[in-house]
Parts: sequence; C-alpha cells; structure tokens
Amino acid sequence: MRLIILFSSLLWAAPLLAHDLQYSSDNAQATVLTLFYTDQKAFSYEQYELYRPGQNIPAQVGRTDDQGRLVFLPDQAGEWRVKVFSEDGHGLDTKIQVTAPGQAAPVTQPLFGRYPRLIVGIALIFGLFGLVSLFVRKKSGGSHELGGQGN
Amino acid sequence: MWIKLGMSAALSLATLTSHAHELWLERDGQTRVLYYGHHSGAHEGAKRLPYPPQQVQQSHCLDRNNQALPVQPSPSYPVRIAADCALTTVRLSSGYWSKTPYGTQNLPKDQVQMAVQSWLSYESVKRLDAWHSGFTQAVTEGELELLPLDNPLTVALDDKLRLRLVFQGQPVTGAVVTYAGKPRGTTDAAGEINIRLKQPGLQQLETSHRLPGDGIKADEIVHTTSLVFELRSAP
Repeated sequence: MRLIILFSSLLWAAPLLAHDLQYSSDNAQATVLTLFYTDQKAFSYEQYELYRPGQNIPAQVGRTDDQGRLVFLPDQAGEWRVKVFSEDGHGLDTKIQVTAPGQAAPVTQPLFGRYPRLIVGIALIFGLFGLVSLFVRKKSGGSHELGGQGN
Repeated sequence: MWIKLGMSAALSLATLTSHAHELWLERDGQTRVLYYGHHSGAHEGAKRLPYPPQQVQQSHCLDRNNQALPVQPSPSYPVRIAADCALTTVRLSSGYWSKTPYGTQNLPKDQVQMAVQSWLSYESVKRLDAWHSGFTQAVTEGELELLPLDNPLTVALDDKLRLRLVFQGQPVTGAVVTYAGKPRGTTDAAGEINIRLKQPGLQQLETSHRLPGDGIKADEIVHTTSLVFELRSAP
C-alpha cells in the first residue's frame, strides 16, 4: 500500500518537475516610453504591442505599468513600431527610431501644437532598467525523470 | 550580446499618430445620423464603430428660428434624428468604467476586483447646420456644452473661432480643447478659447470635464462633449 501511495505521488510530481522554471537577473539599458493624457493622467495598465522593424509578429506584448510606462530593450536598429490601446477607445500607433549605440536622448513634447490628445512623453529614453542584482542565476535541480521506486 | 550593442532610441515625431473614439453627427438629407469611432485625423477615412443605440439618453433639435422640433432618436444603429435641424444635440452614456491591472471593464467600481480607477462616462455631440444668434446659449440643462460665440459656419479656413465651455450654466476653466483630435489649448477664466480652423470639411472640437463621483460606483464623472459643423467652402 505504501508503495502505491508513493508511486502515485511521484506521478503527480512529475509535471511540476517538467515545467520547472529557471531565471536570471541582469542590468540593462532600456528604452522607456511614458504615456499619459493631456490632463497628465497616466495611460496605465493598458495593452500594447511592440514590433521590431519590418516585422508583423510583435516582439513584445503586455500592459503599461501603473505609471503608464512601456519598457523595452531594442536589439536592432531601425523603426520600432509601438501600438497602445485602451478598452475605452484611446490609443496610439507610432514608430520609434532606434539609431546608433550610446547616448541618451531625452525627448519631451509640448502639450499643444502638433501633438495628439494622447501625448507620448518620452520622459526618459534610455532609462536604467534596474540596478537590482548584477547577475543572479538560480537553478533548481529539477529532473525530467520520474524518480526511483520506493519500497 | 545585445547589451554590448547599447542601442539608442529616439522618438520619430513625424510618424506619430493617435486616436480617441469620437462621436459625430453626419447629415443625410433631412436626417442627422450619429456615428462613433475615429473621424478626426483619419486620413484613410472615418472608421465607424457600432455602439448600443440604447445608450442614447436625450436629443434636441432646433430649427433655423431657434425653435425646438420634437424628435425621437431611432432605436436601431446608427441612431437617426429624422428632422432637418439647424442645431442637433445627442447625449448618451456608455456607463461605468473601471480600470484594473488586467484591463478596463465597462462596469462600476463595486463590481470589479482591483479597481484602480473608475468613472461614469457621459458623452454628447452638437452639430450645427445653420445659424441663429440664440445658438450662442446653452441648449441643454446641466450638461457640458461648447458654445460658438460667432457663427462658425462663416469662419474661413485658417481663421479663429471663439468658443465658450459651460457646465450647468457656468463657465468651465482650464479645460483642454482638442481640434481634429489634437489639443489646441485650455479655456480661460471665462471658459473661453480661440481655435484656428485648419482643415476643410467636417470640423470637430472636443473637450472633457471631470467631477468627483460617489466613490462607490465611480471615482469620477467624466463629461465629454463635441461640437461638429462643416466649413461650407475653402477660401
């Protein structure tokens, strides 16, 4: 009986082991796109799609954070396309020119003039994507095997 | 290793486009038709989106003598006002909205989990097809209205139109007014603003006014209104 219980529990454990995730943490420079309305309210928790130059499948999808920010790590030069949209009908479809390596290029936009209702404030292009941990890699020792038989 | 590439990025302003859903009224002979979607700045043409016709709460129709005509909005999409109005207004409400980390739902705050922001939305649109000096006064009671202080139908392209924003008969100050979907300025202490008309065809001016909500179903009540008219001819 004890053998049956043990074998049964191992069967249940197997999928957990097979889907075990590992992770690493690193520092990186990122592009930070901050979106807000004309009344300065953040375009928070809204959906976005980010496309590499010339691509139709988004490289990144998700939601802006609680400050209305979209953070990404461009890995190639060219025009990156960003589409953001809310359920109540606001949105933006724009392109961000990723150019040469190096310098930060903060861009701000005036409220009035040629710019749209939903202002894209690039409060900081080239934000720091965390100064958390230098390089932490954690591995759990998961196995893809069922494990041994008990007695 | 991408980090070593250290790509920099800059916003390409020239390609910047944006949208917000708008309400507008089109003229179809003796009828005015209510549409919702993207009109301003839609170079590829207006994009109409369906809306529930039962959201329409109120409409007004004034003739060229500033006299009210009885009208009944049609019950089906798109809502039609079957009268040759000089001034037409329609008010609707899309109801309560609540923003959560997982999206915005068309529900009151007390019916969603993790609401971080909530509002009750009222939208209205006013279309002018002819002018009467009485149209400088508010048509509705207690609603947000953009009042043209001059006849907008005779304003030439690239000339300015003066407007007053009122809510419950009082001027609204500091409200951002958009023209063709783009912010053009804020109303002054008298609730007034000058807007230069830059595009031929259908003109659309829009603004919003936020008030505190009850805190239970909504944190805010958002009134949005549009003024729509057509420039008759280019200079």
